[in-house]
Amino acid sequence: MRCGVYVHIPYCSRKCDYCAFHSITHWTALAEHALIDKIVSDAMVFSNREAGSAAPPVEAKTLYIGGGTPSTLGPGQLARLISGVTAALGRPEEITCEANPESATAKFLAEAGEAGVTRLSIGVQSLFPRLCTVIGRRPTHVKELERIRSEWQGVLAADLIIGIPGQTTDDLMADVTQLVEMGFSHLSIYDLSVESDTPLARRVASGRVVIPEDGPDWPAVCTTLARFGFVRYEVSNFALPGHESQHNLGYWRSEPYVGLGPSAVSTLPVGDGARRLVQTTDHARFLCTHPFHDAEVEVLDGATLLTEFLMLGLRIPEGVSLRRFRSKFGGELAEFFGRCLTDLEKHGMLVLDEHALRPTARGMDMLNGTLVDLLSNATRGAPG
Amino acid sequence: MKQSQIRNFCIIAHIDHGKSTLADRFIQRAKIIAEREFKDQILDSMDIERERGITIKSQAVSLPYTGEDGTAYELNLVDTPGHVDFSYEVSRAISSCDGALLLVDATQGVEAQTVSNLYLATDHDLEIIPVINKIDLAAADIERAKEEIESDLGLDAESAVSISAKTGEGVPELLEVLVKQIPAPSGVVDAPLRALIFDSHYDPYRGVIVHLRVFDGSLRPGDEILVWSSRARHKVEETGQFRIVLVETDELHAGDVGYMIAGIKTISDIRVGDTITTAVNPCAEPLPGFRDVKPVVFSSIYPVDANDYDELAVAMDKLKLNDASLVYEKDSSAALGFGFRCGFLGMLHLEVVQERIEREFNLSIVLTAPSVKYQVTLTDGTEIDVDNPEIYPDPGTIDSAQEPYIRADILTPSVYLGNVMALCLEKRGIQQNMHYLDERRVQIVYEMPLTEVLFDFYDKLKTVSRGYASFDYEIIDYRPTVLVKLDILVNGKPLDALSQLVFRENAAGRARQICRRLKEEIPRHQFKIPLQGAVGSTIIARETINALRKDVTAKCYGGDISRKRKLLEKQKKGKKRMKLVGNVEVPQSAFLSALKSDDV
Ligand SMILES: Nc1nc2c(ncn2[C@@H]2O[C@H](COP(=O)(O)OP(=O)(O)OP(=O)(O)O)[C@@H](O)[C@H]2O)c(=O)[nH]1
Ligand code: SF4
Ligand SMILES: [Mg+2]
Repeated sequence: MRCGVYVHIPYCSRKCDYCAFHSITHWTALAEHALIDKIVSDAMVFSNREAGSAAPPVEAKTLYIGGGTPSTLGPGQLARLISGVTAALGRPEEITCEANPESATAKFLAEAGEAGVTRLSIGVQSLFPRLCTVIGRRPTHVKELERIRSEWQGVLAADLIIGIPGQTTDDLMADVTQLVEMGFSHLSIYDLSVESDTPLARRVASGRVVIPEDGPDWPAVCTTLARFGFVRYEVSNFALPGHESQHNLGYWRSEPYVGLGPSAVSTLPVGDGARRLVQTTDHARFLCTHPFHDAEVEVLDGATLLTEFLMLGLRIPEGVSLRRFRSKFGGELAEFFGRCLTDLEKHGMLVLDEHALRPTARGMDMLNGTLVDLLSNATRGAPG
Repeated sequence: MKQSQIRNFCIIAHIDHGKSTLADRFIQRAKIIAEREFKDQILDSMDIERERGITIKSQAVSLPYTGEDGTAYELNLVDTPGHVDFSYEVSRAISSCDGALLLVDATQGVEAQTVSNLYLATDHDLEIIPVINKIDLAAADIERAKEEIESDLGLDAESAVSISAKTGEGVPELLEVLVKQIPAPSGVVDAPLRALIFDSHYDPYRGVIVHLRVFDGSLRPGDEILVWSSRARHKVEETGQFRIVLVETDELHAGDVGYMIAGIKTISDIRVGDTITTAVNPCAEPLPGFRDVKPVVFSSIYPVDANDYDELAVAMDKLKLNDASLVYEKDSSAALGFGFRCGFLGMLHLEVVQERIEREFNLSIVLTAPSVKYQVTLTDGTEIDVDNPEIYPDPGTIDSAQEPYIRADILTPSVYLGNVMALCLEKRGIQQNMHYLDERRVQIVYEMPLTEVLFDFYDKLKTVSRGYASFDYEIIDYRPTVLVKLDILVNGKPLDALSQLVFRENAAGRARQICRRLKEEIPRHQFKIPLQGAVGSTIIARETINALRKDVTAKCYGGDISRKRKLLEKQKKGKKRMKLVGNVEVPQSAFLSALKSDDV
């Protein structure tokens, strides 16, 4: 079974105030070494080389190393990780690695390149130090990015945040323009989301930080990126043609995926439904336990998969394929949603043709309301 | 048990003076439930009571007690609420008792409902035992409490028992005093049955469970009973007592308090205040029953989903069994469909009814803006009562209008007198009387419009006096006023549930407040939504909810999917609690919130 393979590196040099990802900021070289060994050994379990594993053998379609901050790994560890995982699951065409500017040193970049990383995804968030301060993150310096650009040969991607208190449309436009001019060919622009139990959430709760009702002008940002030749290939993702993240497209196409490392999530088909496994965030336990036996398991039935199929598929302009819908859920999509589909088409959110149900640009912006409408008007239940 | 060994009494007081806590101590001493099942204020069994920390319903419980001289007694006690809105509950309790413990918090002294509840009890000739509570607190001032009991209540302070309901200190002494002073019931055991229905509730398996105080005669399983007013006949299946849970007994006889199950499925057969007698040997006269409920606020209840009307109708009937003070009749509105026009005893009562319908019957409802009853005189001389903006006549045909006025009795420490007077003035109050009860406390009497005290007067009074002022009121008469009908428009469409009649001078302020509230509560839509307050065609307040540019969560990768899906499923459920007004989805929570007063 061809799967996207995600590896979670649970380390960061310091914790950003808005972040709810699992990562720790103090760890030893020994623990890091053991963690990489365990991830590789879990990869072997998924590859079914270990006797007794019940899962179908997994073959890596893409590999994505995220976190946390993979660039905080000590010398040689990334190479060990990639060679171990690819030895177990095969070597995919696309290998992405996330990095933060300060730890993406020349040495790290060289190691990544030699290990076969094809895409480097940099957490930029904002090029304005004052905005980084608001969300409690080390400011990103343009100089560092220029250095990385000169030292990195592969595809360069960057993450930005929209909606930081005090961020204007001009601020965001300036960031976008500068990154494009520097040669970044992939941009992800995420809304600032206030996650519970983070320092940012506490500042918001106490009123010290006020989240603006309307941030920078989103349609204007989309238009600018289009002018630069970037295609909006998902709600928050833009790329020059050919530079899309195949790994992430896999999620939105409801393809199976394997997650390795603490807190990583896998979703694998089982019969008519699927199982979702969440690995523990406790590192000591992670090191000693079997990835199938100790994970938190969620059983996904037909109805749940249908909800997810739409929720994910309508995030991308290609939409959900009617043929795949039919084969997965045993009926015509139009029969499930009836008149409500027509209404949503009339409101310019969705387009239905003989092949697919696709979101319009507006439909992608308003996907939440569109999905709520769609799901609460389902005329028949999904199987299962 | 012989009548001479029974004592029927209630615990009455101002809010928070410790009635339910004292009941706890009685219950613990009687050991009717295991210690591990015990919890504080155990008689406050409804969720709303526990959440708000106040008693809402009177609750009866029967407790065994052995006196110091070895006599076995049966104590039937009723814990009552202290809040003004629930004084009807107190009067029901009083009708089933022979005595009352009147609690006075030693740190607060006599307050407004101490006085009004004492009057209710003496009107029924109950034996009153003054009890000074919370003596464990450092701020307790027993001497002062005694002075106030003498001067404000006219009771003999020497007979007052000092206790701490919290620590239990003084409770044994109180028990001895009460069995000695409260008279035993004096019914006639071999007379025809006369039992007062003082409460009831519905059990899905057993039908209506009737709560009774038996005055004369007796009642046992197998008897055929007759309900006095409805003339319904039923065969008794079970009788029993309240011991936190229902405990079956062989019979109930004169002097007893207990319950009866008689397979009653027709809710309308039973009305609180009615008399039960036996079919074979009926009594000649019914018991006096209760005074009529006089609702002061009116509002309509509609299901959010019009298809739920039938379920709402059943819910109202069942709730009425357990809340005798709720009055309602069918209602309908062009915008909201079928519902019920209800009368409430105050705003807290309204909130409680709303919450109980939603929780106990799992229904989503919308309440219309509460209103008092106005008297309107038309130009042709006809007089009509208007308690609903829907039937407010064309202003051109109105000659004059009158609104209900109350007499408010306020007790306040003199240091807060200035604040309290300013508040009353703001509420259109006219001062009638003021006198110093002693050097530190003042009693002031104001006459003011009922609408002004309904909404936030109580909270504001507490705030301006740091919790020390208390008040009580009664409706006195109707006086001229100038009314306008305020409409709230959402995206140009009137939100009928929020239309209301207001004193002209208050209209703009009220309209602004509602628009502000709605702006907080209505989620942004894909289009801009103007919110307006209007009197006739004049717009007097406005707010705008800006259009949403983007409503989608920006990130959705492998680890986010389950959480995003659950959020979506929750929103899908929430959508069922939205009322569609034109093309705007108004969450049900917006209706109540719009009507709440500003935070004080
Ligand atoms: N220190 C102390 N606190 C007490 C005593 N009696 C009651 N309280 C506290 O006073 C508060 C109110 O007590 P309740 O028993 O709920 O009062 P209540 O009179 O039943 O109140 P309502 O039913 O709402 O009118 C609670 O926090 C009790 O713990 C006492 O003797 N001493
Ligand atoms: S670097 Fe990334 S993963 Fe680490 S704390 Fe910051 S946002 Fe979170
Ligand atoms: Mg109480």
